[in-house]
Amino acid sequence: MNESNIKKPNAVASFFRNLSGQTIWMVFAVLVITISLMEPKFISSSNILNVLRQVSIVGLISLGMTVVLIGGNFDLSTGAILTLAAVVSVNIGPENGPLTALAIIIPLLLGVFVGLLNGLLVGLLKANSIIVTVGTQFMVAGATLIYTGGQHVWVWSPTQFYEAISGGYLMGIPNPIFIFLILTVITQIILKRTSFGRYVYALGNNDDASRLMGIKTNLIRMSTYVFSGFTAAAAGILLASRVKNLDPTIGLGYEFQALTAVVLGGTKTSGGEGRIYNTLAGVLTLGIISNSMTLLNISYNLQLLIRGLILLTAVAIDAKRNQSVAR
Amino acid sequence: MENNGKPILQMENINKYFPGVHALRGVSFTVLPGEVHALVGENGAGKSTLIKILAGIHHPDSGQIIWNDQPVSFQTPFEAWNSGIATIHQELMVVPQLSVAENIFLGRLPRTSANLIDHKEMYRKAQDILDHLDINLDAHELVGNLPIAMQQMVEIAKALSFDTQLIVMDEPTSALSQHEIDILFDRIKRIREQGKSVIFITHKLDEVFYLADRVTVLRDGSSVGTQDIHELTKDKLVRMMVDRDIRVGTLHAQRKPGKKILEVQNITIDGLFYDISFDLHEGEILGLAGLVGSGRSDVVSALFGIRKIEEGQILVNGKRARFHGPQDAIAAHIGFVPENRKEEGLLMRMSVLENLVMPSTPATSRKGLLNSAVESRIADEFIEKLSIQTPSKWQFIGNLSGGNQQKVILARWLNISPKILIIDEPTRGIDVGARSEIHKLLRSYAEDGVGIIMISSEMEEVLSISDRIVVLRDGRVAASLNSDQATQETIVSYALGVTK
Repeated sequence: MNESNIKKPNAVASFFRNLSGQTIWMVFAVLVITISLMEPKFISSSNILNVLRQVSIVGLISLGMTVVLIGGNFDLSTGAILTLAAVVSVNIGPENGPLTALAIIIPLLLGVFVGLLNGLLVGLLKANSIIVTVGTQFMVAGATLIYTGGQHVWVWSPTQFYEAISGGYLMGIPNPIFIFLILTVITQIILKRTSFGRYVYALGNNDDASRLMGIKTNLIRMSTYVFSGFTAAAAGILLASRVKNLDPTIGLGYEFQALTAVVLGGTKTSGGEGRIYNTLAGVLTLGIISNSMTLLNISYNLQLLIRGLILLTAVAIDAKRNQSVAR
Repeated sequence: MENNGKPILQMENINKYFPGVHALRGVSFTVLPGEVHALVGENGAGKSTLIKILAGIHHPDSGQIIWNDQPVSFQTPFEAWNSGIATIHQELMVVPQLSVAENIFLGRLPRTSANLIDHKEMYRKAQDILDHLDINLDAHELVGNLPIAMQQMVEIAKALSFDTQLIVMDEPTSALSQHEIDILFDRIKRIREQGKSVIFITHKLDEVFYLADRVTVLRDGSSVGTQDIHELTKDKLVRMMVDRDIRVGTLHAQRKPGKKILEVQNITIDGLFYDISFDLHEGEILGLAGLVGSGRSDVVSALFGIRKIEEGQILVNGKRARFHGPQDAIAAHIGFVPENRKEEGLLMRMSVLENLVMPSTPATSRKGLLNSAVESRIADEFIEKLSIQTPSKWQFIGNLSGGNQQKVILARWLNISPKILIIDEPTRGIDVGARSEIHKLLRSYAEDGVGIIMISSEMEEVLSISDRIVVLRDGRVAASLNSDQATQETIVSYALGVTK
């Protein structure tokens, strides 16, 4: 009875399985061509740089999200971490050299700290990581609101260096893009070239087997969350440097945009599989979809609906792939 | 008891294959009305497979089942229950959040005319069945609140509510106290008095002689025979269960043991095992025998640092070992091939290479960076040495056959230059060819001085590979046997507790 189900050649399943490799880059290419034909403004160099600058913030979060997901967990606290980091960074008031340094270091430390907390809770309680990180998300968001009294925070005259984080250029390319791409390469090296990266994949594949091979699974899991907290905080600093006048709920929903990008990039929601360069493709794809929707004057409400549709499609593909590989 | 009656159940020439295993080889088996029929045999003899076929869980590859003079073929467990064959598995199938009555009538709750659940009728009927069995239990009680013995009674009540003529019980006493066993046996006798039949799987020979009318012995998937209990003695039964031709040392020359590398002294973990002591020498293969549940796997998990011992000590090379986790055991050059390859061994979505080098990653990497040249060389070396059949070292391990997966796991530990290698069920679910390759490998590594502890439920494997055998029973060492003392008969006698 079961046998016949397995043996039936499943064209749908194999199509979805093939989609897991480099296909997201093809989807990306097709989208770029289609949108360029529909709206020539899209292909202008200023618009391309604009898209890249916009995606760098979600992109940074996506890097950490990819690492956590490969390890078999979720991190939904990153939007809140981003907000906290941004608010603290601006509130420190980077108006001279030392304060600028603090406005970068302290938010990063806070991100690392929340990541540590996430890792401890998920590891020690062996609790569902979605619930735990939604919990820390609320806590961090609440703490941020208490810290600001619910009011906007701003900085009048930040140092040139602080401005340059998001506003500067290197070889004609905006700094945020550089920061995002450099961190992408670093993440790739961590995942593919270090023993830590290998352990992350092992953890996501099989927690018990990993432990039996001497891998300190709790430590590895915690480190993935620390990394995610770090990239979310870095994204927060980037945002703060650009906006400089912050609503303390500004980061709301960023974690879901990142999650969409990562799942779109083929990282498995059940862990153990994923590629950082495909996450990059997911981030870019999502970025140009948002950008073109704006260029085409699609209302925000409809954009939100479309984004939801994209996330559901990505999840459906992920689930379909699970079934076609499961034996 | 009517031993001359016509059989209510005939299983004829049943064959069942699993990948790489011929689990049942033409087994025939009959049950008479109103008899308690014991099914005995070692682990892996085929008892569970046989009753799972009867219960509609597995389907035979050939052979015939005749039930009440009709050929039948149960596609689902529900069909078997509906036909009057109720199976009570070792893992009870009750829903703890529901009441006793709801459990009894699950899936066929009595309805009112408005098609709602008729609670009154349900509780009344359930209470009737319970009272009839003389089970002192309120049908409203939540099953989750009941002790295991009572949950079992609920399953029996459920079985009888189906107009059942045959109840199959898989090791029903394994989780019960003596008092609870007495009650259970009393109810079984009562079921027999009603003219219904019972098939009873057990490892405890005392129970067989106390309860059974007839006994069928399985060995290696074949039926050795069915005997009237009056024609049997314990000795005779044990002899039927074992294959006497196998002796230790039949496949390898005697080695002289090297120096002691592992001393296990009086280790205890309360509830799992007690006061276990044995030694392991260089170049020696020590077989750990015993029934499933005798504590074999728990003992080796303590040796590997997975569980913490509460009393006693473990000496490795004469020094006291304090393992806080597998990583410490690995650092002491101990390797561990776990029992459940898929759940505890394999990283399914990772390559053969990654699966192979994982535990030696700290040794081969430099400052946390992987050394892919060295890893490639290691993988190539072991793929060749162990003749692992794989298209490439980058192949997902999930795509390999069970035998080749097991070889990769073995290679994983051989690559840490083990001094001690622990292997739990080295050849479970592996085809015959790969099996003998793995056996040869173990012997050749032992000759190179590795001390090996092997757990196996297969007597032939234990006897043909081991230099020495420690038999466990109920979490204690029942015997430590040298190759000249060990026969299948002595091992089984010690494992079952039937020592002369």
